Amino acid sequence: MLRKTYLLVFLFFSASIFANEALEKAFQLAAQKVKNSVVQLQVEAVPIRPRRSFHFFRTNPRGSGDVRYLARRTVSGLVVDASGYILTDANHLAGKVRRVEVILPSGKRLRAKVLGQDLRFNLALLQVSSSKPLPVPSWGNSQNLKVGNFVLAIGKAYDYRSPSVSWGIVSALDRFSGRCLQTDAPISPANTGGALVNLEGKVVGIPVIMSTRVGVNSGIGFAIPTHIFQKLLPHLKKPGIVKPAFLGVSFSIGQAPQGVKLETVVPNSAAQKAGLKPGDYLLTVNGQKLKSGLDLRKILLNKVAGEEITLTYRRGKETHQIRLKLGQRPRS
Amino acid sequence: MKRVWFSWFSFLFCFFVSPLLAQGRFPLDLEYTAAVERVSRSFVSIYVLPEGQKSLILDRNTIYGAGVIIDRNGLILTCSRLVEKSRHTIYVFPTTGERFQAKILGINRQYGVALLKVAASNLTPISFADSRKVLAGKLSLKFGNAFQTSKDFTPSVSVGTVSGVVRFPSLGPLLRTDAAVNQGDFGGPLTDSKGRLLGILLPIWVSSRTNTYVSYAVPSHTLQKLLVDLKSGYLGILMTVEETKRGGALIEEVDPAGPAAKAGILRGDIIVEFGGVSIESTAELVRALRKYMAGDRVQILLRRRGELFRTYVILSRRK
Amino acid sequence: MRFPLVWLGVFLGLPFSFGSSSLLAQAKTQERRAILEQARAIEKFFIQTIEKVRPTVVVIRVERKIGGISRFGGGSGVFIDKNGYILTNEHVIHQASRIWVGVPGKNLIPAKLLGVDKEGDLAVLKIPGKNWPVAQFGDSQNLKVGQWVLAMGNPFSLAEDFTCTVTKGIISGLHRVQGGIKMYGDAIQTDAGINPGNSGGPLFDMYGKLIGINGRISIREGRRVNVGVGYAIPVHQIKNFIEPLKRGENVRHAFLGVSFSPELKKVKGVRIQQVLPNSSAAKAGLRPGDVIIRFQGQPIRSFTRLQNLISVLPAGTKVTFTILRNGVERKITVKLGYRR
Repeated sequence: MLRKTYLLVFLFFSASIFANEALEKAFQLAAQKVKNSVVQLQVEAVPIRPRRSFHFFRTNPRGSGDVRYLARRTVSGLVVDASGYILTDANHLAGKVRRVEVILPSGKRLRAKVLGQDLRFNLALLQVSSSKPLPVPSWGNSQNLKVGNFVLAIGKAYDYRSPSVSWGIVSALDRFSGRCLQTDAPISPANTGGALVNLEGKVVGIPVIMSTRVGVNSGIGFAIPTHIFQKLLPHLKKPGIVKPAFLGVSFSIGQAPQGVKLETVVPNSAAQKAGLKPGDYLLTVNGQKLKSGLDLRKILLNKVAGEEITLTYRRGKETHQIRLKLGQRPRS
Repeated sequence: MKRVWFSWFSFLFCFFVSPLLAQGRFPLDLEYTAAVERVSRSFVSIYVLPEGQKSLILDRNTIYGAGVIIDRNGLILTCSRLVEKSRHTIYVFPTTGERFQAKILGINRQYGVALLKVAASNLTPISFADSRKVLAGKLSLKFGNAFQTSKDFTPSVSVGTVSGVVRFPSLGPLLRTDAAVNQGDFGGPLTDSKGRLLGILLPIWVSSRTNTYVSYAVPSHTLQKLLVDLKSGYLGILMTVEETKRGGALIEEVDPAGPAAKAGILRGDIIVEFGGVSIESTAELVRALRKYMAGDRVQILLRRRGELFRTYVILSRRK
Repeated sequence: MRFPLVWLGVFLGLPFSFGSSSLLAQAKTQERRAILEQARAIEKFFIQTIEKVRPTVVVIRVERKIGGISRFGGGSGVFIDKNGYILTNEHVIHQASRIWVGVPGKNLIPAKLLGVDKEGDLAVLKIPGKNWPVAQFGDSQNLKVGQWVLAMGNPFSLAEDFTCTVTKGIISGLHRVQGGIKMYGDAIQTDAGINPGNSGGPLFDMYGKLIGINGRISIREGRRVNVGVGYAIPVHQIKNFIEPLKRGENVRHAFLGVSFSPELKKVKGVRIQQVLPNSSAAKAGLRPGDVIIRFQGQPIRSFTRLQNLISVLPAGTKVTFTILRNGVERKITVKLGYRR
């Protein structure tokens, strides 16, 4: 007994005298836990002339401003399923993709197939066929994150064996209408598409480039939280670009204690077909009460075309409930 | 059983971390301010001014950067990009308020590191950390002269993680850091959170002059290896390495622009004594040479066609 | 006190550290748990401080009418009084025709502009209401380089719901002089991420005390984003101006009116090169060639130090210089005016 105690004393002293040292070691241990689940990707793509994105919130990775991509790039990806699914930042697949290779930490190269992409979240799913199951990271609870939580951005863009590790805090939650969280960990090409982990080494998000306006070196980085991209995975498994839902109404995003007032309704949209009219007040979506226009926008942003939702609205003094199937954004 | 363990653990935890936390004090503040204080004593700002400029008016064209004192007798490490320009005067400003003119002792072009010497005898050198043990995720402090924003020669300090240790072809390992390294920070020290030198910041691979969260530093264990060469003076001779002792070191080739040529040393001469130390082999001469720095005046005893000559050579810096 | 204990631990522990391997493994997990526990304690410190002060930070939106066309801009601010007084940068609200304040959970609130400090880049706004959360003033004169800080604000107008962005960093330097039309005469330099839109936002120490107002960043070449060099107006400067600003007065900074030449030669104190006619220096009888060695009893070793001390004072402050003229020490008292 005494022996154990002494040993503990010894180890304790040697390890954690300085708070900072404990912090560094915690970072290194967390990075160790996730390092095999972050893989390097080699993408060969022919760049296409970027289109200008005309709206800030509709940042199109294929046409986003002045980030210039080379024909061949080395980036990071995150294993999300042992059977061979790898998630990455869709910006990395900009252009006409000729070939994507996954390099496992062992040095093994696997040819990957590009499955679905979601341009709202800038995520893309790849599939490889591997004889051995791929190492899946442990998932953290990203809904419990608080501003100030420590996060590490882990990437493999520079070296497929050892990860690059950067430390930051959660700067804000629910950015870009609830699509991503914000961190001051340096999110750079070194780690986008990799993993954002907490102190325990559990993945709480995937770092992505959301806006080229903020640059890559501003202390402002974004990551799609785990609970959001987990929900997206079934949609991403189908090849092609995920079609965002389109209700076909416009509203202001401010506080709405009376319900969200509809300003316009797009002809032939899901909203019009369901009988919604300008001047109606939306009260709940799928049973969730709307406190502001932003709430409605957040809910709609997480839906894909074809999903059904239940709405309650108030017209005059009457309250109605309808069920409608969300449509697709019309081409225009 | 488990409970005993836990109680021990919590006892110790309370004992060491919590005194600070219990008083509501932030433990990292103490450690970082202490490290900054320590490194500041060894930090220097470096300004390279055109020859003849008397006043220290700093404009857009002034070359500026940082460096670190590694020896109390005035040895300063910095990056070579800063000091390479000829016909310029190098000024070194420690945080004590003194100012020195520096001369270049040696430059290593492979890594881009330079060693400077100033006439001082009472400087505070930085202590070296063992950079071989560095793992990704280590917290580091950068000390520099970013945008010459500091007019009183105190350093600009940033914190960041060592995001990885990289090997480039033809170079040894370099440390990659995400601390904010900008123009003027080059040559400055990257330290650990205790204020020990991890590396010297490099301006290479920086396309713009502002920070991109990817900067590189020459690690301290490489620096220590480089220092041996950087410190030793240049003689300007070429010898074949001989294992057998032949009663001296045979000179195979003489650099016509080197100090040896100036001292009248010819090809085929044999050095038998160097600075009062008798030389039996090439290896011994190399060892003896390492004790001298550029600018040192050394007495040499030569044997030429059986006759002994005595001459002096003033060692120059390595190019 | 720490180190003897460390050695005690080492000496006691060493003979036993070659125990069975399972014991070692057990101790290792224990050690890892201890490390994680300690790291979590630090993390908790961050979270608690942030939770305490985050409600005091607000978003500021302004409308400017330039040539008949209205343009919208914005920045950040912080509550300094529970009756709705908000501190921000002057350049955030400069030439604004309308100003709004955004608080989480509320729609934009129209704000009234009270006092303005053009040189010091400060402005005070007021919104109606009582019991707003307030940021406590800290002590910015006893800061140390290396201390951790938190910057808060609304960079790039990212906050649709008016929740601020928090970035961490350390104090990179103190007493920085950043000249220009707006004089940052004694600025705190930090590497916490400060970007366009962070202007007017607070800089807190780790105890949640306000130590500065973020107002400026160094940028060279290229786009206006943070490169890890930001500057904040220190609270000890703000305290000198805050009362008149809250009363709605426009304030002026003290100005001496002398110029110095930076010399490579060493001088004790700072030598005056030129004296501006009609300035307070001229009225006090300062002459070119005089060497200022003390200001308000504090020794002056550099021009920068003198700038630090004078620029934080309001115009009209009575100050005392000790100067050396022809080798003789003299004391001069002068009421500082402002720059014309």
